[in-house]
Amino acid sequence: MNMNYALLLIAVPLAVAFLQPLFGMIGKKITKWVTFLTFAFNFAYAISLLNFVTANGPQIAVIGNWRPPFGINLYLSTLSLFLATIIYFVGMIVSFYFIGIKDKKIDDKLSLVMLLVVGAAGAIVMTGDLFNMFVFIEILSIGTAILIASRDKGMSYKGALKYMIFGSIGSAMLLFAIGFTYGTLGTLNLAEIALRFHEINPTLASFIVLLFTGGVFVEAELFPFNMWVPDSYEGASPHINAILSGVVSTAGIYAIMRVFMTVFGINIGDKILIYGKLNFNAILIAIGVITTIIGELSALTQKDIKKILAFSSMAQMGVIAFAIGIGNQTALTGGIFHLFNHAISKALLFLVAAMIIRNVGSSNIDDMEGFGRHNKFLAIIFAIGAFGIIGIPFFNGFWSKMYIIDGAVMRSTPWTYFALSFILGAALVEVFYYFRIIYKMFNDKKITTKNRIHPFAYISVILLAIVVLTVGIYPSLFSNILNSASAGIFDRVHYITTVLGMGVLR
Amino acid sequence: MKKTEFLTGSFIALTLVVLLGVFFFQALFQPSYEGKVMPIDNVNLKDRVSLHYVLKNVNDASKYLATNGMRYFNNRSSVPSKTITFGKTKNLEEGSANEVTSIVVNYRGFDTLGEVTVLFISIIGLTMLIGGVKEKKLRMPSVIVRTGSKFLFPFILLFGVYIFIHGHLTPGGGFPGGAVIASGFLLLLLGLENFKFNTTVSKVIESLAGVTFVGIGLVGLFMKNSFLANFIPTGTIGFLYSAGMVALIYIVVGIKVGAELSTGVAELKEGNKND
Repeated sequence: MNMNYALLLIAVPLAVAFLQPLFGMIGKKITKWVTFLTFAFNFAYAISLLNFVTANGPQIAVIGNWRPPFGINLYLSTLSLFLATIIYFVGMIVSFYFIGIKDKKIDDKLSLVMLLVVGAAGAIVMTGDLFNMFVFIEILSIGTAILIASRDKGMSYKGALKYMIFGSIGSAMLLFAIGFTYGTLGTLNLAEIALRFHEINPTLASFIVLLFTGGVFVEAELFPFNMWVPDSYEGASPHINAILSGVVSTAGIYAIMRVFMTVFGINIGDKILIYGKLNFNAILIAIGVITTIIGELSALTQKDIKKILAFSSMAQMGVIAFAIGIGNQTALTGGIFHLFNHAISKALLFLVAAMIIRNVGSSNIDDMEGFGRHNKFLAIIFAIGAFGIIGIPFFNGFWSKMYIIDGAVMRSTPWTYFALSFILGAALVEVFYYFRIIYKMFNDKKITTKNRIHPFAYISVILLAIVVLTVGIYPSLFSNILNSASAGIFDRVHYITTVLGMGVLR
Repeated sequence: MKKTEFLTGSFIALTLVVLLGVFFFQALFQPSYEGKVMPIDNVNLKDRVSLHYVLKNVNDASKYLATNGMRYFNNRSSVPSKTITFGKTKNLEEGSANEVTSIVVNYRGFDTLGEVTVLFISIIGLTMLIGGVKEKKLRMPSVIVRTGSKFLFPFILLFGVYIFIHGHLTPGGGFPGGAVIASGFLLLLLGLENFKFNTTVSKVIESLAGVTFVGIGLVGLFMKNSFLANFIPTGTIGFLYSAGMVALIYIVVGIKVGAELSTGVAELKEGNKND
């Protein structure tokens, strides 16, 4: 299999996006179908590449026939392609849902932006070059701001503006980090930086790590760069929120995993520590715990279903950051698994929430009282998604949280136990507010509904619910892929020799 | 926003800034030790990947890295390089005389594809969100502006086209050339009362140019087995017909950027007529 053809995963969405204005002249429905078909192609191709890579080990794709570290390359490991598959899957489902919505004035441009956002997220998880990652993060953040603003209400403009401010500050910090890296090591290739990062003065290394933090924490919704989350999620349309939490934050967390662990990290014993003067692993654990607590407690106080789901999404990102901070392989496997579960379950929850909001005409959970009696099917699907996020046994979130707890216990220092207790306590809060919504839905109360729901919307949520249930009942379905993915982060030497060639360590 | 919220936010922001500031100053004034690299006191421009971009010996450097391994990183300038004479040397691995262009379009061409997309999505967002605002009644431009803009427009167009066609030889390239073309259309929009800019045509041109860029990359993928690989002979350095696909890509980028910015300017002035 020729790996250079993996570039089609990035080139096809870009080319189709450039053509979208022409399709838009024919009809708005066509642009939506084209977006969906592009994602379907990418999803199928990414799965075939994923199978190949899992069987044969990581590969690189060279761009412009310039070998790395001189040119840009893609690094196609199990992790990258697994996350790319998730991203394209969520994009496919959301764009399928999008077809069913009544056409609005700007929908042709919206499907174009959706295509670019998902395509850029796919590029972020596959690229092997720091500056290339920055370029695609730029596309991602501009596109996300446009998606948030597209609802054309005052609230959505406010959310988009907030996101724009955070996103541009983050991008500026990321650019500085890249500048310092290039200034010291003279390279932008992730593998070469990984090979030589310990040559940098530890103080400067910590400085670079901190600056990099600013750039990717915005997308990953981690404290203190997540102040945009509540307003933006409330302002945007619910199906856009599915992209925000399923696609954008997945790409952000990947950047943290890959760059902090493989590139900035050094192997010590069975875990990876981030190089530098600061103990950044401890900071990451603290950030994870703070994000989780803030997210869960804020979700508890909210009445707006979109805000509840937004804060919950933030909290899950905190759990994953905690897993990355723990830094051993079991915890990382759990982190990657939880990323998958979160993307699928949250997309499901947001799409169901979108349908409920459309049906009830309000996003306040008090107005949804009795909805479960009126439409049992949707309420049950919502409950499935909620159980998946909470981690009720035999739903997908259970297994990933198990992995994370297992990894944290393995680390067995007093501080990790302390942090873990907070994470578990926050999970209890999560149980409470999700059950409150479900309880309200099944309350006995007459309810009047307004709009009819398109069958496409039903198909898309059923597909997601099937994935949630399947993974919950057969968690070993992905264990092969997950182990290979987390091992890929750990085996830094393998990463470097795959990209730069075996001779580099001589 | 409540006052307490605002104060908490300010406090967190201030703490972060102070933290970063402390680190920055520490890094600035710390002497290098144990042979660790510092950017401030010891800048060696030859210790960069870009050295090979300037000397045009990337392929040699790849071979050198494969045979010598770790020793390459300690001494990048020991890679053999040939002397390049302007207007004489033929069939280099990368044939543009303008070093910046060779990096932007060839060695790191994929980033340029990304940057073109950034501009594309920004203009889409701009016209989607701000476009269609009602046009204010502008004061009638004076005779000098009206005549001058008509007179200057072809020359501005010509200059823009010159910049992007000579992108691989002289400073400039697709982005500045496109911006110059757009400034010509802006002049017409401001100077002429009844000038109507056809956004449909410009959108078609822009789309086709964008697809051509990706298409050039795909031709490279199918012919030379790598996306954005050069598939045209590079010719003699310094000639107009040289540099292979670099010249082609810059022409496409110039047309795309010109059409894009002109559409943006026109839609900001007249509103989005299509919807």
